[in-house]
Amino acid sequence: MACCNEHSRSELLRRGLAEAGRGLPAIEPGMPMPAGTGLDRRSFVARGLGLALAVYGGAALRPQVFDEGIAAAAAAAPQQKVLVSVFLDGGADSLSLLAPTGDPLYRQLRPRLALPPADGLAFTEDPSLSWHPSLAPLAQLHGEGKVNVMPGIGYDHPNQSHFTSRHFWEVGAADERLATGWLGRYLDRVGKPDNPLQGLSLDWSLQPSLATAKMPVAAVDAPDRYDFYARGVWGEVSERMVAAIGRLGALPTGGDPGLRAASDAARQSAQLYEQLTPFRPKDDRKTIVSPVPYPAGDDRFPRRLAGLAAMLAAGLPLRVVALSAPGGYDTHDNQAQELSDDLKLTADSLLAFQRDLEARGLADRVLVHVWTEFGRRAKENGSGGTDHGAAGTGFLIGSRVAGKMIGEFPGLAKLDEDGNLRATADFRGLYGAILEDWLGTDADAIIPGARKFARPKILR
Amino acid sequence: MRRLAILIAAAIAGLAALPANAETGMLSFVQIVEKEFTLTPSRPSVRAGSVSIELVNFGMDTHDLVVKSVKAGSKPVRFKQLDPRGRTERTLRMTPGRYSLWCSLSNHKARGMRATLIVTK
Amino acid sequence: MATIPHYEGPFRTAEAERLLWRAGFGPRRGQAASLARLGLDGAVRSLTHPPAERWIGPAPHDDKGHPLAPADAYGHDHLWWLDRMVRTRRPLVERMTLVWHDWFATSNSGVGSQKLMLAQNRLLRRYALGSFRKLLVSITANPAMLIWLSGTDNRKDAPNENYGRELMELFTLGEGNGYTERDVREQARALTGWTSTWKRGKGQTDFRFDPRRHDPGVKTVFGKQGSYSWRDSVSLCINHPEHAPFFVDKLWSYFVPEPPDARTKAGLEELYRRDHEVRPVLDAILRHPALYTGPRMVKPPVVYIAGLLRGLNRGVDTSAWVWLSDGAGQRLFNPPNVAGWDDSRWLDTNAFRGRWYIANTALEKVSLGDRKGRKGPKVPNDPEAIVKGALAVLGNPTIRPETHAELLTFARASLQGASGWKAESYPPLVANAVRQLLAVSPDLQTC
Repeated sequence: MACCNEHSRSELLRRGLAEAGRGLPAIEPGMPMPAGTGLDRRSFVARGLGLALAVYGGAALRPQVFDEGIAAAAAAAPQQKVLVSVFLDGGADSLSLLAPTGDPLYRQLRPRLALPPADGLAFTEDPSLSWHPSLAPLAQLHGEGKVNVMPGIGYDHPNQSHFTSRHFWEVGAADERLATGWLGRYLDRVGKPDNPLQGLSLDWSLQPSLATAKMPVAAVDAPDRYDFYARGVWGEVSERMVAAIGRLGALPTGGDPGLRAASDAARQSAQLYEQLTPFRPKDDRKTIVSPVPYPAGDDRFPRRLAGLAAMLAAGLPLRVVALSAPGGYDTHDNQAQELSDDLKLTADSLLAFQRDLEARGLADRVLVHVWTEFGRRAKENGSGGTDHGAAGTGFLIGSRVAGKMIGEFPGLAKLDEDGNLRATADFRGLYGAILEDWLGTDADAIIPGARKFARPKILR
Repeated sequence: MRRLAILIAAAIAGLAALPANAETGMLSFVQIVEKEFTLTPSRPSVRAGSVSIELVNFGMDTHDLVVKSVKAGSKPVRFKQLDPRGRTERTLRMTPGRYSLWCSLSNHKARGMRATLIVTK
Repeated sequence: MATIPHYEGPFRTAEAERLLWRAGFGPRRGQAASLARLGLDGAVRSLTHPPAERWIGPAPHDDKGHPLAPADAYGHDHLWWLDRMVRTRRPLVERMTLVWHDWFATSNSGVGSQKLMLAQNRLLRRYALGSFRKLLVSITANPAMLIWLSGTDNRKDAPNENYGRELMELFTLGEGNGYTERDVREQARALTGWTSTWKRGKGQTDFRFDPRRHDPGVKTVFGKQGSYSWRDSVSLCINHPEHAPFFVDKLWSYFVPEPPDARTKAGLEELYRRDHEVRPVLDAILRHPALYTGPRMVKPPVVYIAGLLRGLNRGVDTSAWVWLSDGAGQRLFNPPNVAGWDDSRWLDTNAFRGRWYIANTALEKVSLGDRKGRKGPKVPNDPEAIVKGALAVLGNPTIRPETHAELLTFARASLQGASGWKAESYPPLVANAVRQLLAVSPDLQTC
């Protein structure tokens, strides 16, 4: 009974938070979707992709092959598990995301930046920690058992260069010369040569974790802005002109590889333009309609997540998706305000995304991994900010997660020799767990030295 | 007339930021490259008049730039903070003399992010 | 002496055009025809033994009319060099400078000084057609390179292998080709001694070799022993038996997309080994049948831009070229890494769109139709004339008959049935569209 008492006590705490009604109410799967929600699967697949595709690595293929490949992949694996990787750029301050308000050392190290004890929400798994107020939406989801927190995740011999540390996380190894992303290697292993959507970078360019050696992947920045404008051409003539790009690209090349590369690029671009028609704003018609509200404003992050949910709902064969959270987390000064604003938009958007997936009945298929390249120093600097540290905080969000911390909070009493938080979990072990338990593939083939790292339990 | 008066008043203080669409005529350029923890102008001196000062962040941390004449009482001109790989530009009207340049964040100036720019006749 | 194949076919405008695109930045108006009149040998010689430089056309400027300040203004370095490509009378010299920039890929993102990058650029140009041995010696001591590949961090008590490794892997031998990790370490020792002084507010200055920082001991490189210094490092690489084959393959690949056959390769290596001069090797490559009869190559972005400007008889008059070229994947003085640009990845759907907007910017100054109340020249409602006009505006490039037919089909279809107000207003729209389509056609993306 003792175990159950403790278990039920923490359960009570969680339910209490969930019922406090913060944020959006949980949506039961099976609820009917509001009318006019996005595009239905048939129209998506029939048109191919209604999105601007920058296809990396697929230039040798005809877009028709992509169309067929995408349709085939969608038909073959309708229940494909999806991983969404969200990057907090700059090294987010773990001690602010989850503040050790119960530790007197905290206020000594952070005289200006320490979170006032009343402000944060209690973190149910470790009462000495409080959530940053802007992370209330994550606290809500955590209360529902949908968040695994990694309070001290990193690696041995921490590197404090943004580019180097970020590179390690992206390639899944402490190796500066490795040129493929860990998710790229996953796709090289299980991906198809005719499905560029298997790896989708929701950005202007390819997120490095998706860099493959051979499989095509794609980058989508703004589906509603892919156009081919020419000065002094408009209307019907302009539409014909773009179609002519495709026809020029379909002319015989006589096997000349140079001509073929140029022709392929032309044809694919024309095809994408056509497939993009539903997303191009016409009059005031909105192109993506979500069943739940997302944070308003100009920022791309909520819009990209909304578009992603619509794509998944339409059955597009995505496997791994990568994007960056809004804002910058390299808070050497003015930390308090910047972090507050950036985290709020990020957390609000992630909550909306989770609710969107639940409304569309997709929540069981999607796992969101939130990561940053390192945490920050325990002691604040003299400018109201913090400098580069070592272990940081990460999250796994989704309906299927275990809902338990991975690695304990490292604590402020035993910092490493540089005065930074020690890592209580290794990112390579986490990657191994994601690859094996969520994506169902052999981690050893993808993460160098995978066996050396303890693999946490991440799912229920 | 009013704009001319503003320019003259500012010129007495050493430098004036030009309104965005001011006519500039002859223009000199200088680029300030910032890294940890250095601040290096692309040239040691520029000719007085309209000077386009460009700040480029080649470092890994946020930086900014302050430009101020060494003459007592002059007002500093602040450039906005830049993330790594960021850049920003301002065109200033500068009169001959010595100007101090530095990064105002944290202890960056003490660690070496400072330089002098000479404005010649 | 292995005889190197020599192109024997007709050398007309189309062949001269290809030569100018591969060995330069495309023809100016009429230049292909006049080059063709020189015959193959004469044409190649005019490129490899060019006249003194003289700039053809007005000086470059930015959008506001300001002259360029290549060391002091962001992007002006790119514009300055693009302008040279457009106005040069020595296209092969400029093209080889670009080849060396890719070969010894140094990026300002690591150097942080446009001035030092420009000094390196001058060095590359000095040896564009000259001695590769001298170029290699000079680049090893070049300040931008010393910063970029940590040459000044390489000290006797704390060796840094960065330059020593790339010297062999990327510049002279090829990865793992005839050297070991031990050679990398020993080369690093031989290369120690270079240093600079950092002056606050001035940056790295006074680059020099300091014997006190040099490791004077005996090193074993490629099985040979000696108390090697940095010049020896270079000689050892140049004299390595794997260097000439590597050099020939790599230099050839900038001009011809498929590797050379064995006889050609042997002949070129022999030519090169004589005195490590680049000009005779180029002479042979530019006369080779593979260049004229083999498959096409995609034009690198700056070559495409410079060529459009040359064909349109337009100078560098806007800073847009900086970000447009970047959008297509090539920002001068900023190669993506020390391995240079990847020629096989110039065209994906993102880069195609980048090239579309390059063409749009190039053509916008000559776009037809009325603007701001001013009436433009009359465009006839005549598909043939429209296509002919588009070709003329772009310097009459050689295109496939199918491409010509497709453009004609487009013009006809767009004008067909255009009656009433459309009969009046459609022709300039169609003409602008045809020009744009021609400029981004696979024919003009390749050479």
